[in-house]
Amino acid sequence: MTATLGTLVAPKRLARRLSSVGPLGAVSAVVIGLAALIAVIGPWIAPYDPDTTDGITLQFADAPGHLFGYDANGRDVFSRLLAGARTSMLGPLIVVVASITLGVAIAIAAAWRGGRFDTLMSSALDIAFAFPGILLAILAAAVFGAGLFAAVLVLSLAYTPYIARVVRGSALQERSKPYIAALEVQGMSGWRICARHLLPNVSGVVVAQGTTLFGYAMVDLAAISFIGLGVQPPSADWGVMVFENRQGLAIGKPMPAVLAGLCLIGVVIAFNILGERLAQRSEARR
Amino acid sequence: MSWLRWAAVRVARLVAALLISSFVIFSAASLAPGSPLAALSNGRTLPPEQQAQLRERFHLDDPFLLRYVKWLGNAVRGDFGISIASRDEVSRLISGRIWITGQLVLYASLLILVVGIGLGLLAGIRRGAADSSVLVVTALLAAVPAFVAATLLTILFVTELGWFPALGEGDGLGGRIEHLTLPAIALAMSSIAIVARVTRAAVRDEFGREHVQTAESRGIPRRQLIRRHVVRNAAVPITTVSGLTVASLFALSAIVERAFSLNGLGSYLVKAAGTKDIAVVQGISMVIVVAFVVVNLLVDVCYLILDPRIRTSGSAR
Repeated sequence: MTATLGTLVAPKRLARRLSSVGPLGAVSAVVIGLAALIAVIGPWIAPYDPDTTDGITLQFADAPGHLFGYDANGRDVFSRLLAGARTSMLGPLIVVVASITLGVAIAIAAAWRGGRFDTLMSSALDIAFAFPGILLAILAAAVFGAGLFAAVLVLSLAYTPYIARVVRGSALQERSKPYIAALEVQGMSGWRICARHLLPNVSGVVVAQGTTLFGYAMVDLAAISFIGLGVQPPSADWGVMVFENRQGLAIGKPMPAVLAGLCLIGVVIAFNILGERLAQRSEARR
Repeated sequence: MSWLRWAAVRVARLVAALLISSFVIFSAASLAPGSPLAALSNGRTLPPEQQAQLRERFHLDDPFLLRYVKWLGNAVRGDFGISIASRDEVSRLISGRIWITGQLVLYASLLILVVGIGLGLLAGIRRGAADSSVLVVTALLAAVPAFVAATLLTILFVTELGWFPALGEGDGLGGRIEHLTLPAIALAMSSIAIVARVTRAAVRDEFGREHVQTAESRGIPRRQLIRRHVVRNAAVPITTVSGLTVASLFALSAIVERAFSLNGLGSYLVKAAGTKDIAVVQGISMVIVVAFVVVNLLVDVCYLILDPRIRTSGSAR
């Protein structure tokens, strides 16, 4: 994410970065960039207020000036899709940033200290890895009440092992390299070696895994919103929109639900492909 | 006998997982804002005698850990307490809904094992068109969330083609299978894609290994080569990913049951979470965690069968 934003001002560097992930990866990066842009400006460029209804009699109606017509509650579908990009992507962004912070800290500490501490951390991660995120999110909703906050909080914890496992593997490899031993002999402190050398050298893996997890988090959060325990209506969210407009399926008006689903699938595919390409690239570099 | 040690470590790990998750599930209730007494009385103020009675009955004056141990002891005997919403025993409420979820998960698991592994083997063994089409299709399917799959499948097979009934659970075995087909596909879809991709990668890995190339150069028939040398060795990672995805189905079924209005454990869990019916949430969560552990136990048994190194030396993979 930061790489994409940072390189917006440097077209040459952007082109070089895009070409390093292959054509499909580049297309995915562009799709993600567009989705991120809409997430930022979507609510402002929406032609109508996404949350106010023009009257329930307009349920699923087509109307001039309304690109995709009205939804189940007589609101403009196009405006809700644009506004929904923000809620649908903000949650996953927080989940990914939080789980990367926590996961990298645990992984680097485990790889650096090694021994018993590492064994203990690894078993703890194995057990946590097994716990399904959706179940945790439902539990959290029962405790804290339904809402995006609880879901984001527990998914951040549930995704931490996904980051920590992968990063620990690379950090262990890096730890055993001679340059680290050389720095230790020179008397550099463990903190500094980890921050200045270990961390930058595993950052490729972190970015790749974070990208893939962004897609997973989008799916999980949308699913939680779909079952009514995440983003609460009338807020526009792609998961919520699929649920709200399900009644259209039976009466031959499936488009509002389908469009929200397709937005979700499109962005998730882009994250999956880009994540895979980034992982291949960081694999090839070592 | 060193495999016994291996088995002991595995079982110990699963028991630890069970204990930790049960603790998480139990303490969730105590974390809930507001006093448990208010939850029990639906927010009404009760006379002191009744309050004392409730405190006594639900052991609210005991220390936290003691309450956990008591709760766990009852849970082991199948007693999860009483639902606040329906005033019925949680175990009764669970047993009335567990079959539909069990059947749905079983159906989806079969789809994952047959279709997922099948597609993966096909793509891994044959190169060219079959391989690339499986890769493209699985890349798409992996990104389809279960509830979107449910929506799309309903449009295609219920509204447009009319091949399957829209809602309900169906009567008899035939009716049940008919009603559960679309939910099972929706539940299995992304897992099929993941299993297929891992299977393909595992098969490709084995083809590249020295022992396979040696066997090939010695003129061992291809059929035998694939069966004895490639698939047999690829079986371990395939088992791992299949186990992982199947184990996650129990929790995912909550979403699919909601999407198809099935009256199973998952949709009941969601409903109970929405109404803060904590005893029900705890009971169903425990059932899901136990199912999860059982699947992992089965996976470990598979390792024991598939990997002779575990049986002889106790060290694996």
